[in-house]
Amino acid sequence: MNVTNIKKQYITLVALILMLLSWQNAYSADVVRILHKELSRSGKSTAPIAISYAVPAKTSIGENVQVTVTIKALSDVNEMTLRMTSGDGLIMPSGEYQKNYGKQVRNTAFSETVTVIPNAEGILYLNVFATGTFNGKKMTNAGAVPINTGTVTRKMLKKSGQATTDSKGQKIIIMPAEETKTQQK
Amino acid sequence: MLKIRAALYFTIVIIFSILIGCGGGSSNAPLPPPVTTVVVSGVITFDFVPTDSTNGLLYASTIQKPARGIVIEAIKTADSSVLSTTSTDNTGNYTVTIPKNIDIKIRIKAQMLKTGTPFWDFQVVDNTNSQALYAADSVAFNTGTSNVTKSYNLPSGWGGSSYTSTRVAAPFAILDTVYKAKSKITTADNAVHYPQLLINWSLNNIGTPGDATLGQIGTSHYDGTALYILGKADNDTDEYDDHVIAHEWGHYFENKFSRSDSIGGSHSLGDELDPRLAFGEGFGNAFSGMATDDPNYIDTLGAAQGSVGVVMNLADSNGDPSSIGWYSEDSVQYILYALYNNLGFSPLYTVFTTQQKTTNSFTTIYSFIAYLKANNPSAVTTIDSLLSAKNISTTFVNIWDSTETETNNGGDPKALPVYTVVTAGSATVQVCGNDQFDTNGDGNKLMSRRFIVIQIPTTATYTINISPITAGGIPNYTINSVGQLIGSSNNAASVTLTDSGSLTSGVYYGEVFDLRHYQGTTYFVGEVCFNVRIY
Repeated sequence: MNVTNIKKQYITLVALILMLLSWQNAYSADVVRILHKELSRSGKSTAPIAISYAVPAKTSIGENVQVTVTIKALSDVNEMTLRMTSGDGLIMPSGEYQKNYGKQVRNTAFSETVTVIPNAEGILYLNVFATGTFNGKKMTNAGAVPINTGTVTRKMLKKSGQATTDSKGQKIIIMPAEETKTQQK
Repeated sequence: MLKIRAALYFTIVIIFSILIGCGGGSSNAPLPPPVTTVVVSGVITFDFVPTDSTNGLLYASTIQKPARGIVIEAIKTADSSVLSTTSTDNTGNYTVTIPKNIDIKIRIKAQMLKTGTPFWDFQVVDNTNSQALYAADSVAFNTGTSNVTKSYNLPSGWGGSSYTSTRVAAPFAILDTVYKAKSKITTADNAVHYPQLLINWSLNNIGTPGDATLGQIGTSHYDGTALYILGKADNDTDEYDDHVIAHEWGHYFENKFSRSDSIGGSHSLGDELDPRLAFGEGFGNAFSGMATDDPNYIDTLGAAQGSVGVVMNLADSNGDPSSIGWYSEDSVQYILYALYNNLGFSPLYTVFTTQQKTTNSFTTIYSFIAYLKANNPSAVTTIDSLLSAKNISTTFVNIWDSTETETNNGGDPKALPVYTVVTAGSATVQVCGNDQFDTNGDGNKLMSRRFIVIQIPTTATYTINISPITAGGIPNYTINSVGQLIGSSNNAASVTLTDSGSLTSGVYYGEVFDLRHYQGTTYFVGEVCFNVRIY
């Protein structure tokens, strides 16, 4: 094996690696991973309507993002409705979404797709409210679809006050107390 | 003689001087110490927003309620050291004694702390900010030279149509419900040691599952260790929904002071549930009414918190007609709340903290009622009338209903008996599971798992054999004793399951189920039956 052959093989190998890398980048850019999840009803009592969603795993500011929300009646229901609103930093170009499905039998499901546009980096939320009347009682199940925008996940988190550590070493969040003229009892 | 007189005179003078001194009338008495302290006192209140069964939170009707049992610190502004610590009383009043002429601020912590007996330590922390404890500080002031009154209110932050400033009141509203719940326990037992409880609340807490440090808590819940409470405005906030708070605190009580075998998971009032889940959630709802002494459960949500999610009257005997029986949280909550109204809290507390805690069965309405009847024979008629109202057997004789008195099968005859008796060395028995009540694949509904009670006559090594009758059935089982799992096997294939182990003589209980019913998912395989034999 002479030096020329080694050079040719080296160049071929580098070219192959570059091709693979470019192909991987192209693949990443073209394929959007979709998250499918069901919103939890494990905790406090809720309406017997299951909510699930499909949303791209990552989005970017200004992008048109398709969110598909599915609601499923878990009991016979009257006046089943789906309502969706945008949380902070999220735009719904068509405005708030609402649809009434009327009377439905147990196990009936509907899927709706809406377009949202992230206007800030962080985790933004599409609010989802599924309402129905069950045996004459109106109940609503609330949840939210997370829209992961950009790379800084904590950017949209709100603070309740000023975080600090007290003289005993305990982490505390300081909020303002308002003095009143209330008299002692 | 002269010397004797002089000595006598001297003695009389000394005694006279001492007597005058004791009378306190001497002009030479020491001066009182100079006043170096002042008393700072006041009342702490918080904005409480009432709920409405139609319109959600009524901000226009906000009232100021006393912040009870809350930790108060007097902080020296010069070096942030704590000069004095106390707690507010049951009317929100506090008193601290502080050096005079010193700059201080009053710190109001979102913590209820009591050392000694009883003991408690309830804290509201921010799960999205390193679980830091919420606190509210006053503006600094000089203590001056005389006693001073300093009262404070903790505002809601509501600006008329949205929250426009810090929601200071929220953690204290949560603690107010905890105060009520704790006080209810105190009516039955005033020497309780409550394990520390962190209540995770954040204005980022929202109804999506995921990373709790990002506020993604799924919904308000108790995870076996701590409470997580929703706080995301315009979606779902629970800080003023006192029944929701009390419901979740009830799970803490049941977990720490009693026992819950609830398998958790999604549930609604009209569901036919696994009876363990039905009992746990029914108790949570009933306890919310007991703690608040208000049967009207209201869960608010939506834009400007102006809507409601669930509204129920715990005292309504009609309840949710779509699910009535031993598998219904609606039925359980009605019975328990009515028992509270009829018998008071103490008889229920006794069962929860003694027999139910050590029951040799799953924790269901049967175990609870069996003990309650045994403890309160004069109340049996009342108890039976409540059971009858919810179509539950009144004649069951033990915690398993092993004599099979229950007739309410939820619509499927194979849902009974509640427990199938399996006697070692005796004939094979058949149990059938089904996912017909589990339309969402949650794996926690009636017939998702079937209960067995196992009678072991003599101590020996035994073999359990579970073979599918239905083609494709994937057998699984658990065996338990007094709340402890002592045996289980999880097959992944549709073959006969055989497992062996040593068992001492006695009674055990467990479950037999198809893996696909347990996992839920989207299999929906319908009825699956097994032959069960122990030998």
